[in-house]
Amino acid sequence: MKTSMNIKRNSKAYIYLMPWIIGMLVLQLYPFVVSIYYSLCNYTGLADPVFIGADNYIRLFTKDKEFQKSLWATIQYTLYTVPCKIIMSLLIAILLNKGRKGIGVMRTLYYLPSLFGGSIAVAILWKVMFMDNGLVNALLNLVGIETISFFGNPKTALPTLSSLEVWQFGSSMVMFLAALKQVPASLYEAARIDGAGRLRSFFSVTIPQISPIIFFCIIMQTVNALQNFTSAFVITAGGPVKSTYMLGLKLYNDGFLYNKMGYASATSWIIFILVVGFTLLLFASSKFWVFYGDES
Amino acid sequence: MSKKQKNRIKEVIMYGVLIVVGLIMIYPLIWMFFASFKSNQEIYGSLSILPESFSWEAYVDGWKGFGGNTYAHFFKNSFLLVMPTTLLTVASSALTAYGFARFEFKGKKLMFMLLLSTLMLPNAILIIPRYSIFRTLKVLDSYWPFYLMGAFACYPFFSYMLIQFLRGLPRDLDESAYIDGCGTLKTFTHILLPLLKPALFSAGLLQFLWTYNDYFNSLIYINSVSKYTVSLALRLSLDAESVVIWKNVMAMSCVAVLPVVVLFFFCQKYFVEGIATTGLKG
Amino acid sequence: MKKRQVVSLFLSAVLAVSVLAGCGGKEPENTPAADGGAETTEGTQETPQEPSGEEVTLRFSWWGGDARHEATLAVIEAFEKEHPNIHIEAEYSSYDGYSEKKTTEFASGTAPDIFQIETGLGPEYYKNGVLYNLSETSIDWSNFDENFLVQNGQFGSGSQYAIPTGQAGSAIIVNKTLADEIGIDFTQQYDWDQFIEWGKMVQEYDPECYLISANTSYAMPFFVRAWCRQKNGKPIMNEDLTLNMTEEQFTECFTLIKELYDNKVCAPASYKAPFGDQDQEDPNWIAGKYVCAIGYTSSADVLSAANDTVEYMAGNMPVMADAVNDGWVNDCPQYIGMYAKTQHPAEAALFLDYFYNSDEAAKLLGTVRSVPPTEKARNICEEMDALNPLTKQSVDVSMQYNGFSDSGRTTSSEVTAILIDAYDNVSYGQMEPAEAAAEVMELLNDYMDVNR
Repeated sequence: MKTSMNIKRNSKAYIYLMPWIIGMLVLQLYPFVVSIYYSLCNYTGLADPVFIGADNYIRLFTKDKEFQKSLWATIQYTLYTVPCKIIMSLLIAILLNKGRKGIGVMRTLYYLPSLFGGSIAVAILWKVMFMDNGLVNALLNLVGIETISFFGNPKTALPTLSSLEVWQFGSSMVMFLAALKQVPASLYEAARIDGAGRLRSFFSVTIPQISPIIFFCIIMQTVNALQNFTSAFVITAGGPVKSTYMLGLKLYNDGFLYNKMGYASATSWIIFILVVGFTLLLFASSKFWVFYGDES
Repeated sequence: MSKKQKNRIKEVIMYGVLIVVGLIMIYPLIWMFFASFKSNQEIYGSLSILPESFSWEAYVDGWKGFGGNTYAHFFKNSFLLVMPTTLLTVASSALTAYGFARFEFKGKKLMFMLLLSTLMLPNAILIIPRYSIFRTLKVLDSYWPFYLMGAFACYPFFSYMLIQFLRGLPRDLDESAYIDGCGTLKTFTHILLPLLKPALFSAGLLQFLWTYNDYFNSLIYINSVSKYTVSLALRLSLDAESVVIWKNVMAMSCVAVLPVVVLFFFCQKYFVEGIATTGLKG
Repeated sequence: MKKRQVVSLFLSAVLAVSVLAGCGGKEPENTPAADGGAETTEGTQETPQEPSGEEVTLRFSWWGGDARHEATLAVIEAFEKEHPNIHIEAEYSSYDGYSEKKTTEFASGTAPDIFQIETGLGPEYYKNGVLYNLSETSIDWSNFDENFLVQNGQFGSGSQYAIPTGQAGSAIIVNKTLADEIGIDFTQQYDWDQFIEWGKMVQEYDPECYLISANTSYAMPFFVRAWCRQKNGKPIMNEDLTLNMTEEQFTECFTLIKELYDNKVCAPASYKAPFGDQDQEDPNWIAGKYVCAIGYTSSADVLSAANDTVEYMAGNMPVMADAVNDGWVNDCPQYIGMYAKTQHPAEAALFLDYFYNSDEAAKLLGTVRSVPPTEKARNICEEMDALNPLTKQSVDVSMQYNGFSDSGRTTSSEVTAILIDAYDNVSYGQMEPAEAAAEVMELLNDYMDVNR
């Protein structure tokens, strides 16, 4: 009886999924499949693609030194930004979660940097702040530190760019705020009765309860960082000496500037595999630390 | 008494830290606002944040827009594009999330993998084939590409996000609703959606913001300047070969960011609501 | 029973949808750029078609800033008044994303009838057959200098596939006030090594000052491409994918660049990097700490506007002692062309003819696309006093020289990127000149292999 009810119920899933299924088949699948085909072609984007087999991939790994450099820059960028962003947004979400006076204004303040996205105003601001005769160097000089060419030195450009990314931590913060609100107050109550302090209830109640969202944020931030295009495009254009020439920017330039769309497609499938690899690792680890409310 | 004092000091320190860090966060907006009163030389050549003089001329000049379209028009366009897209995205993503999070069905694993994989291919490479689909559907130079993407859950970020939030809610809720005689739809709309409110709001907010700020996709799909959104209009006057009056750009950037600041301010209280008001007993 | 119904419903939906998707997918694949290039288009346009007089809507897209948008819109309006049956939809934007959008439109066959083209992409567009052969239209070429047309927009085909929008050559914009103070005279004829001597004078005068404000994207064409034109009388790379510049020559050229930076003739590369090609945003330029900036005639406007407290002039260009050719040439800032698949070539040509040849358009456009390409329009601009005196001077200076354009393979985006990387590596001191030269040779050879 119960199982037949369940089967009946479960079959309704397709109804709820119908919009997504249609979207998938009509709008998503074709671009997906065709990009695999392009990656096996000599395709300029201007004329018809010509099939060349795995040449693009072979070239990526054997001839294109730039690719390795880009790959390394991308991985570095991911390692810099993802942990910093997650920790920062989680901490601030917790601080801003309390019902303090004026907290709404605070939350808005902290979200402000993320409102700008890759806007032109931010690009100019960062240039002006971090140039050799800019504000940050003026402050450093005050305390006796020598001028640093933040965006001019190949060694510092990538970390500086990463700090911009971390500064825009708002989207994870918003999700953490929403997640914190889903934690039932009774759990904290129970923990307190058990004699748990604030720190312990944070680790034994808060973290497990919001772990699905932490997991989600880590995955999304990793995906975004590995595909990052905007910040490098808007602020450094990949320079100096290609130190911030990440894969997202490389494939954009290859595809649209050098008219090597087929080659760019191959690059993006490499990014795809990279992202999938990272994600699988994260999924494998999730068994140990992600707790879902729908599981017992 | 002393404990109360201690708490008070703690509270003051907390506020202090929040405010100082908050000021760093808000510095760009302040800088941008003051830059809208500065000449180009001042913006690049001077460290001082305050302008030499104040005049609202940049706002008046900037607002005039281009080719007979004022910024009022661009704002209208932005909202025409963003509002329906956001609502459709949240609705379709919530349905998708419900389908994935609460049902067991054939092919679920495969379909979930498909959903995730659409997140993982860089967008740049999908532009050309996707554009050709919208061309076939004859919806170019309109906002329909965005509406359609929203309505058919083509923003996997939000589907996956809501799946995660839904999975955070205990299944007992559904079971007891079924026992009370609710169907799946009623369980969804009456039991789960209210609990999902903070997540729905944050999804809506993010989608609003990202669509509002989006430059490249809008540029690709929209041809007519009369249909341009604010984010497209903001860059219209940027040209390396001619003198750009930056204060006009800054002034309009300030105006452009206002609606989203206000929106965020009013939305954020819904993150605080959720459980407390809907009364979930753990 | 019910389950089966649901499943079959689902399956039929999937089927219906995938059929739909099939239409959505396959059709555009057959159509884009179906007429594969210049040869096919020629067949369809044997004789200049007469405008039919029917109601026609054309699309025209360009990038630019405020002034260019306004002026171009005014020309469109004036044209529509004269030809009430032709309506022109203006699609204008900033430079960001412009060529990305064009590529997308070419791939789907939806490009506008008329569009502005980046010089670096012109040859690529021509090769892929997206440009209409303008020589077979009714456009009147008599106002243009013939040689100028051959060098700009024919891509070696003998037919005009794109029309230069204006004249722009390399230029040295000199802060005359500072140059006079230090005693540097840019009106004489000098060679490349002179820069180093002058640079030392500037550093002695004030260590905070530099002779040259050089950004990579302007400096590379200046120090590498022009150097090669002088040395060999040929571009770095020929159209048939052979090289004129040798590894030794690259080493020699890069050694010059290294000396420029080692002796602080140019401002340090790391200092200049954040400003990209926007020299006018550099606070040191605004404060008048450079004797000159290397750029184009079109930069005169922006550079002089950034600091109006000093006097400017356009300096002469360096020429090496044993130059085969003086190397300096006027080319163009961008082209305008027609889409090979336009439905209304006659009307589009009518518009371009108006755009380039009518008095009205010349008056309205002024110098929004640099100094106009025709003598006639230049005279009109001069009469209206629309030419910035500094711009005019820089164009006059560039007219003194008899170089040739190396537009083509050498200026393609990819080769440009290779050369710019090498310039970066040398100017940052990341590579020794010989090392950089070896790498450039390797990359250029690879480029040629791939494109053969």
